[in-house]
Amino acid sequence: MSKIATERSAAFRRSAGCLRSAVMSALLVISATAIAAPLDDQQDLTALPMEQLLNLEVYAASKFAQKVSEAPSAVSIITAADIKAYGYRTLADILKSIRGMYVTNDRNYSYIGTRGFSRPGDYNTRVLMLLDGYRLNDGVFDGALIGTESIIDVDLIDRVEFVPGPGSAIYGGNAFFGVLNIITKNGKGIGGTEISGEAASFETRKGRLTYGERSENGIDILLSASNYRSRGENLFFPEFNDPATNNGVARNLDHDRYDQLFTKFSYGAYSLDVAYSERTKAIPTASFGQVFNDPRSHTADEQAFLNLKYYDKLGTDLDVQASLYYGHYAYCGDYVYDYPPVTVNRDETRGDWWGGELRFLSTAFDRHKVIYGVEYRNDVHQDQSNFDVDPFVSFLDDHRSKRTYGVYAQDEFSLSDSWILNAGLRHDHSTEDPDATNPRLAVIHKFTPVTTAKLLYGTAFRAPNAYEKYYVTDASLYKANPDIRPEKIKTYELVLEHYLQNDFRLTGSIFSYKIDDLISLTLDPNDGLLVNRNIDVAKAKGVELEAERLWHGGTRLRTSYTWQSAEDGTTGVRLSNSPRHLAKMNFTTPFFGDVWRAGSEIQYMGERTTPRGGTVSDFTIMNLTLTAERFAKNLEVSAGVYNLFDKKYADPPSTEHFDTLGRYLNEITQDGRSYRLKLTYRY
Amino acid sequence: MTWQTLGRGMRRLTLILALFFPILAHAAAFSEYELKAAFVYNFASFTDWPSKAAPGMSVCVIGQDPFGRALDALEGKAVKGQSLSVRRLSTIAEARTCRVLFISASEVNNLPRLLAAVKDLPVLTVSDMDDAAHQGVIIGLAIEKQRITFEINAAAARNANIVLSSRLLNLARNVYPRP
Repeated sequence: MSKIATERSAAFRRSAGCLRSAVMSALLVISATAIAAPLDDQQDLTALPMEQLLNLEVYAASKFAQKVSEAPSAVSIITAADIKAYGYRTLADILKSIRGMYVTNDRNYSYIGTRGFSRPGDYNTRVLMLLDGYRLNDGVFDGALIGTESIIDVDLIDRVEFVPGPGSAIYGGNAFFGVLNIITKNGKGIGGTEISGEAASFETRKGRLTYGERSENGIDILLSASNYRSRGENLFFPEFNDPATNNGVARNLDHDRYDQLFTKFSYGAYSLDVAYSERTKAIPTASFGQVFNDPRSHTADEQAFLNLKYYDKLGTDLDVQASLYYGHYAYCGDYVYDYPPVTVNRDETRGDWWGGELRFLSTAFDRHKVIYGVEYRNDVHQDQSNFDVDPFVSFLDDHRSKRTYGVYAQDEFSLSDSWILNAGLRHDHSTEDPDATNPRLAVIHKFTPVTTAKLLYGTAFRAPNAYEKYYVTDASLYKANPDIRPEKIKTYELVLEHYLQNDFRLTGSIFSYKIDDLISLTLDPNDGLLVNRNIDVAKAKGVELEAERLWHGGTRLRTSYTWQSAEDGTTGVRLSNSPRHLAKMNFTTPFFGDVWRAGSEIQYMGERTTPRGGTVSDFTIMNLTLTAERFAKNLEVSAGVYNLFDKKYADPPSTEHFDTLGRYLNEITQDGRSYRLKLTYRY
Repeated sequence: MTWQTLGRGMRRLTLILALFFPILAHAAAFSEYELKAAFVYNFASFTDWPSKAAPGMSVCVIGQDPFGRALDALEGKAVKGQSLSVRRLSTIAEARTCRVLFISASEVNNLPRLLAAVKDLPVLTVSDMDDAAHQGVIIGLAIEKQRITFEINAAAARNANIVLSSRLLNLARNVYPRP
């Protein structure tokens, strides 16, 4: 490794030392405090007047988050308390802790894996991501961004619900493997001003300023701005280890920065959400056949939306929900190729769309809960271009637009106190793709008040996006495939949920998925060009188990294990980037008299194959975060160590990870041990 | 800022905090459901039921009981000259014999059905699920800035033929429907 890397690791040791000493002395003080604190419980609270009760501080009890999703499914929920306790920095961190999910990072973007599927060229198109009901998947790549490229600061998230299984019967396209609902805090939840600053390894710093309040007359306001800068590491790629290419070291090519703005206003039945984010990341991997270690190689992503919502009750048994939105996504990528000569080639993508939704919830009929609605979306611009910057040569200048219409209905019918039937159907029509109709059927049986079984059947579809159909460029050896068809999935799942006590939950699930016409980025052996194609059939089956236990006093344990097998239905070959085994454990507990909380997670990922037939080894990593919510009046302190045991591990590369000399990456090494210190001041 | 200066700053900060630690020690907090049980007791004390209400002073819980022993501690306490009794229900049909019905957050998906079942009964419904009062529960409990607050759905109280004292209405953070 280079001299810089050595200096850097020395800096780590220093940082470790200073962090440890500061945190330790803090712990000593706090523990002394805890011991000194007088014990004055055993007081009869009913003897106190109400005014006084309203002023007493409480320890919130641990409880299972309430399920608000309409979906009949085995829902996973991550709350703001988890985000704090486990020191989550991005949505990707959150998703890694969810049963059955995994995340791949190629040092440019982060990719969701679920039910054993994480396909090359898939920018998270197969999970529908909703932010307070707004569809985040963009209009060109269909992507939902989860790493530092995400539109939302995780500190503003109140809860994340993952609803596995097809959601097309309500949500239409993209809700293929699941729906991810992100629900943000409101102004009332912030209740004042928050200033947060953090410093982390690899010269990373982040700041956030948030104001939130609900006024007397019911106006709720949240305003927040975040800023993140990371210098990153000098990454070493053994595949490129040659004196001609800087001995395989990508110098200063891991830098990452983003800015985010988020505002929310609500008054009475109306609310308006406005969000904006911009993120720039250097590309260290020479992906798509670039020249390795060129400082110009980077991508930039810009996202924005405006979502106006109306929610009201029309009488006692009819709720109405309407929304009108505008969304924007722009991507720009500079790729450096050696034709020769060495030339900067630029991708420019722009998506603009608007749309609206009208949804009703009726409880007019006894024992029936009916949801029905219509949806319209107009993708006004789906523009993609690719050109050499100097001398200017255009390879692609493609302009498209598309309109989609959806109509759906779902009935939750309580046959008796112990049997529920849930049936849904949605029809989608678009100006571009064939019509799609998707049903979902669930039978839910409560054996006892504490044991529930759910039998689920559903189908979903995903139309190919503009990028998969029309992206073509000679520079990065891509060819278009306008004949690509929508992919379809048919699923069966059996879920069992059992509560041993109020504070102990067990969930088990068995699933079988079959996908027809799965869209995948493949390498055409005839001409060596990258092309998106329908591969015939893919199948997945698996078992998931999860246990969650809460203890008095705020200790929580959640642990899960997933076995899954995803394969090409024709050849029987296991799909790439599909681990057989996933195991996770999250444990958090207060210590030193509730002043500090420790949050620890352990994640195991099984061996995975790469698209070129190699393998990346299995690994276990552990993260540890210590948080003092009230370290001092108004001050919260959080100190985290990620990859505590400095495990060397890697993610599989995708089809596009090769440099200009045709050298393919065998694996993409992930971060070793790193640290973060975060201070948040509230007033 | 280098790591060393950051570390020095942290140590200094800790020392300053150490001087103020008696302030930290003072903030004794109570367990959530002990406090919520005390609120339920107070709600019962500041409510007037019509004469046709169920006899006795039964406080019932439907769904997974979050109180544990905290609610049992109310057993036998006097409310409006009657001795309070605590019951856990297995079906909503039993709610007919209750004065106060606490709907556990575990029943969030069943709420419309449960409320429909007690719609015309003089039963004071209380719940701590999100937005309970807005959804038709008479009193909704919540935690805000580590303190318990409550909201009242006055229309639901009227429908149930229950009169809440003006003291409760004054202390509520919100009363629905808004005037």
